[in-house]
Amino acid sequence: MIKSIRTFFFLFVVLFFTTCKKNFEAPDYTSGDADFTNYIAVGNSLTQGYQNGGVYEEGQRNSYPSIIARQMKLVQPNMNEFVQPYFPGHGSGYIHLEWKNNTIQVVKEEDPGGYKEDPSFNGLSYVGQQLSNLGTSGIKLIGTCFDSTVPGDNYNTYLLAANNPYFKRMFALGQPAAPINYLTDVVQSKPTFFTSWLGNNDILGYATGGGDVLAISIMGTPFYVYGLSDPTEFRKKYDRSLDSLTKNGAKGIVATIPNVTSIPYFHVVNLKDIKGPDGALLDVYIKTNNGIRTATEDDKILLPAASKLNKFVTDSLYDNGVPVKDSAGNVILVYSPSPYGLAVTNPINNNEVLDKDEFANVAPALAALNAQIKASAAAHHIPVVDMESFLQEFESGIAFNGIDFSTKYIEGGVFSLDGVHPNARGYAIIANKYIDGINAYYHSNIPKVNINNYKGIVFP
Amino acid sequence: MRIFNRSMLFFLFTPGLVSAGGFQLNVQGQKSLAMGGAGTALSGDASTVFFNPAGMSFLEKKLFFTGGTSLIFPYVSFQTAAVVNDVQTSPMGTPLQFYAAAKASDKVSIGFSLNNQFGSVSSFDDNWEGKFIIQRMALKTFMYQPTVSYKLNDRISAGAGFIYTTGSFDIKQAVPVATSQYDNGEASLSGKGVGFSYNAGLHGIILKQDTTKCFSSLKAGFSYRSPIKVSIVNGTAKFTDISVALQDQFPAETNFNTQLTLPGVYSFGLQSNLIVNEKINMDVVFDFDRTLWSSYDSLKIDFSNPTTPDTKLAKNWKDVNAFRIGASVNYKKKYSLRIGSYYDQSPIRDGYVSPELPDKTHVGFTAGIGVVLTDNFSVDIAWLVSNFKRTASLDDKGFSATYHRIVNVFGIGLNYSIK
Repeated sequence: MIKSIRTFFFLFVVLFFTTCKKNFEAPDYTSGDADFTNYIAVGNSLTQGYQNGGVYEEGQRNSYPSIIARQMKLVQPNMNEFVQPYFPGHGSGYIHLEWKNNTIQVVKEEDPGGYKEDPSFNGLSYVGQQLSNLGTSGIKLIGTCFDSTVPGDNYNTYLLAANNPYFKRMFALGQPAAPINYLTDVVQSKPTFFTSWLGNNDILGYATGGGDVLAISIMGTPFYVYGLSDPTEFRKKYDRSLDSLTKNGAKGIVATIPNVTSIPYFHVVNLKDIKGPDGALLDVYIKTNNGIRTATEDDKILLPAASKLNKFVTDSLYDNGVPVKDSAGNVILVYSPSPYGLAVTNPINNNEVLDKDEFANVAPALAALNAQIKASAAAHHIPVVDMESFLQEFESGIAFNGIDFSTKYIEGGVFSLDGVHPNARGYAIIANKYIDGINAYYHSNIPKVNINNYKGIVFP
Repeated sequence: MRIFNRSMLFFLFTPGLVSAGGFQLNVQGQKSLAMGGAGTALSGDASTVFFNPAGMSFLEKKLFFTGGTSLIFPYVSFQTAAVVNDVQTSPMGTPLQFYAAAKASDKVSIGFSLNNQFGSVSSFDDNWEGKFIIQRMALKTFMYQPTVSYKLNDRISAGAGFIYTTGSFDIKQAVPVATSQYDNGEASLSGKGVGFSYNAGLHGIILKQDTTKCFSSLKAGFSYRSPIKVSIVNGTAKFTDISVALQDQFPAETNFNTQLTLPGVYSFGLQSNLIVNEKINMDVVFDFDRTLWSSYDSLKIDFSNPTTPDTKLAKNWKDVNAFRIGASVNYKKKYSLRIGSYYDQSPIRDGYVSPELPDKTHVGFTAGIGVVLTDNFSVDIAWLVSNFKRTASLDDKGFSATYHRIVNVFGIGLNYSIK
């Protein structure tokens, strides 16, 4: 019996130590059918890492391409360094939050105490650096190359590039008569793998500009800076962008255009919040292409109007710098006779409202351009990340790693203070979405990032 | 400015017994623990006050004390799409048991039970991937139970106890609000509460033959423990590292209320005694438990500060069954070698699996020994191991992982009895 007890104890101890601690091992990382040696990211502000209304180094370090590149390096350690053109200091300048007078204040670049653009920003010029992140704020897909059948198109692209502070820092411009267009730079970068998220500005510019089509007349031809791009021209140039990217056999992934009107920029101002001092709802006047009228729920008043609206009080009444008080001891306030947006004589400007007629143009254009992206990608055997449907999931609320996200301004947690571009955490979520798409199509196993390592909104 | 909606913060207050799945793993008696956790018809020592109060009537002692502790060593590692390996930093758990049973008369036995039927400490590195779900949770309960059993006749008895429960818990979770100084805020909640419940049981001898027969006895037991509502009233919630702009919603200190229902349990058990020869006999036990976990459908926390967002988290647990089987080989009525196994269903559905309690329907194994040292004094030692993997998500929080959970329990129990 004693012997069997001993045997039993022996088994006991052996079992204990064999079941003691078990940790997970890293999988065998593989880039699958893809080769990430020279990863190149192509796109606009979203790709550049633009957030809080500007481009600056901290934001750029959290751009989704740089996040993806860090993760790719885990599966392919010998890949090239991912080069981004960092803008020093406050870069282009950006928006931040401050706590003043017991409220949260959105402090814009131009406001007192705002983070203004770095002195070097406008003086930056092309330094001949070969970049991996070719994301350029403001660029439209139809501006990435010129169409010889469109009169003046080559000069347009030159002019737009030369007036784009990012473009002229990042690329050689060429000559006005023979501009070097964006796709030329794309080809020169010789990718082995690419992500492309072009096309957002072909819709977004129109919507954030309040549908206010700004036309520049160049060589007698109107050029619509904020117009909705024509689907036929868009398809032709999108095909060309993929031809350029895949020229040397590179593989990659592209993304659709999210529904830009679901972003906070269009939803911060709600008519039901516009009330007078007595709490009664007020009429809001907007300027449209069909004249001045009162706003309805179908008109989208844009974020830049938010800080100007509902400003009855222009100041206290001062006497030699001391606020004047009435007999009850209350400070006497001076009311504006014609507050912005609240008087028919002072309507919200055309470019700060996407009125219902302009709003109605967005959805069909979005559907048309996304159909072209999907068709072009399919023809080039390139997978598509459906950012349009992904953003829709945020509209109804979605959780990642214990945080609830939505498309609401600030509290939604995913968009930065400009109400258009994601914050660092939002870019991490986008990077994970791309990584899912890459892994699924190319049989790689790039690990995702822990989004909680990236900051959302930074409160004061 | 009210920034956050009501769903912004969820506190998980999961009443998990750290040793294994759901709450169904008994560590309340070392003989039972060594035999797959089956104890409803065992009545082998004073722990029957807990397992089945009617069993007291069949303890063949005037006075019986049983005490012990179970050292619970959990090891939970997990892998997510972003992190290859992470582990809980949960410490050892040490639930205690003390039981007393005495014969007040030929018919009436009285008893007392003190134990920790629910208890859990799950902790993580403060900056782990799921810090906004949970950083630390500790739940402790003490159950005080005066009990009586009445012997109806030589074959059947009935017993019941009144249970007074005190519960305390504290929980820590990161708040997803960053400032330039802090990556996140932190919320710490702690509170205490009490609950009242009862247990009741029947114990019967179905068959009893003299000890010369191979199959000497068959006993059956049935017991029920009622659900326990523990109300935490005026617990303390503290928020730290919060932006100055949000201290209205997340004040340095406020109070909260919550309520938790610990589930009711039905148990049915059988025990038979087999005589092998003059020196060796064998007990075989079987238990079926049904735990009414559907009472845990959601967890609500109401803060007394009106601007702090109240929280409600869907749990949606389900009622579950467990089957337990065990055997004890007894030599010269002095040494016992025990072994057992159990099948334990998890109450947690897919989509509701939280990192502090990654439970799974599983099979566990147990073993142990017992030694009678003197006429009055005996010792029991028990060991349990469970080991499983589960890949599951917590949908409300957007978190999923593959969990590997290994639990070892070492128990020691001492018995003192007077004929």
